[in-house]
Amino acid sequence: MKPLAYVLASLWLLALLSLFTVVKPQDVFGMVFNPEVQYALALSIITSSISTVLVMLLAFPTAYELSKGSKFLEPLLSLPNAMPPVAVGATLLIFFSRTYLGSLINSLLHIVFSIPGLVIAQSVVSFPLALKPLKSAFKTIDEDVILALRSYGCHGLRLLSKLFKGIKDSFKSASLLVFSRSLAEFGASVTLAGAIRFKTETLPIAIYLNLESGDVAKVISLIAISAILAFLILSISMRWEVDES
Amino acid sequence: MRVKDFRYGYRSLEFGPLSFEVNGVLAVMGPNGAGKSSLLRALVGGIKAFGYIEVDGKVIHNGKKGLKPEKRPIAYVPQKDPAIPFLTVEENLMLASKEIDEDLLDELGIKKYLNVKVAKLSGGQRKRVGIAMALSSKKKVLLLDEPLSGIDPESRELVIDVILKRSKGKDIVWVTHFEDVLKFSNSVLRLQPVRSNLS
Repeated sequence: MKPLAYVLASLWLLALLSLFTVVKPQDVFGMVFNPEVQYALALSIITSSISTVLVMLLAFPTAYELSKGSKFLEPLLSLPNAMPPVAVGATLLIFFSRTYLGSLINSLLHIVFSIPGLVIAQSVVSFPLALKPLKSAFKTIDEDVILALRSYGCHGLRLLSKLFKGIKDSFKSASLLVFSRSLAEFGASVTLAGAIRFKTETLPIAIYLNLESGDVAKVISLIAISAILAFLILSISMRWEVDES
Repeated sequence: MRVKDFRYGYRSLEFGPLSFEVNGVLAVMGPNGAGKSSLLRALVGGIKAFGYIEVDGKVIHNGKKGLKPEKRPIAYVPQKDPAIPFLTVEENLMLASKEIDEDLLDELGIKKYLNVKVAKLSGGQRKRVGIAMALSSKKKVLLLDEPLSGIDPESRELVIDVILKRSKGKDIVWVTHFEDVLKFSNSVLRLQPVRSNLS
């Protein structure tokens, strides 16, 4: 029903625009050049990009394996998406700080309360989002063709690289999904990497910190940047969908 | 290829046990649901199987364990989609062999489609691509699932001729519904649901 869509879109737009009535728009725009805001924006884009690459590299072969059928692995791998993000973050925090193996990894990679922790938290939470579309895409390729190719000696990475061509549209959509989820990640990140200004301060964490300290102009500026980024990602995603159809 | 006490199938459905030897061309026939296509999948290592398979004196499956499909000296052409639809004929052929045998493609009538995506070909043309891939793969045994389905009646003998000419010294197992193919086969395995007999 189109009228309902218009009403809901208008309400959401109203809520967004009303932010600019709380503080002067020029104060909000001025904040865009604030070092803290720029740090949060840069850190968000960098960590989300790394997480996206990491997730897609791991999700691609995993989804291929799962497409052959697995009743137990998929729910387990998808768990971080269904659990509260703070619970995922707490699990990772306890693992990396209180267990022998986790502490060993942490001593090498400095995950807890530092930037690598952001990447880990974003990756763990967004990984299931890539798994499902990629698995569905792999399922469209007939199992017998894959068996035939294996019988000719084509297997492993060589086979996967050839199959990539057939699922590249799903791969692109999944990448955007993972990137946008990583950008928006807060609960797991703040628990594992902490909310430390100019260190682990991504856009959502910066919103949280500035909301706590009452800097409303900065908060609104950060919200505006987040909304513009999300809008850009959605626009690219929609354009890809149009191109595919 | 020698197959002994071979059972195969899926969780709820099991076929066999079968024992047979392939010396030249073996035709596998039987009604739908007799396990013909599943037999080929099991021989190539795609589904669960128990028993013994030997090719050229080398055991490739014994008991529950067997070599992976890529390690077996067996090439398999499935019934439905024998090639990756979103790749061109040339790209598909390169997956089976490092070199493209243009004479073989010419004989099969698909040379002109080398740069065409498989998805754009007819069922019969796709089947020819699959056959070309299997023949190019230099494997000792060819498993062909309904190799003549989709191929027009006047071209069937030509395709059979190419398969037989190009696979000299190899064993062929083909699943078929066409009785007229029997004259090209050395032996016939007639499968019945659950039970089977070698004639």
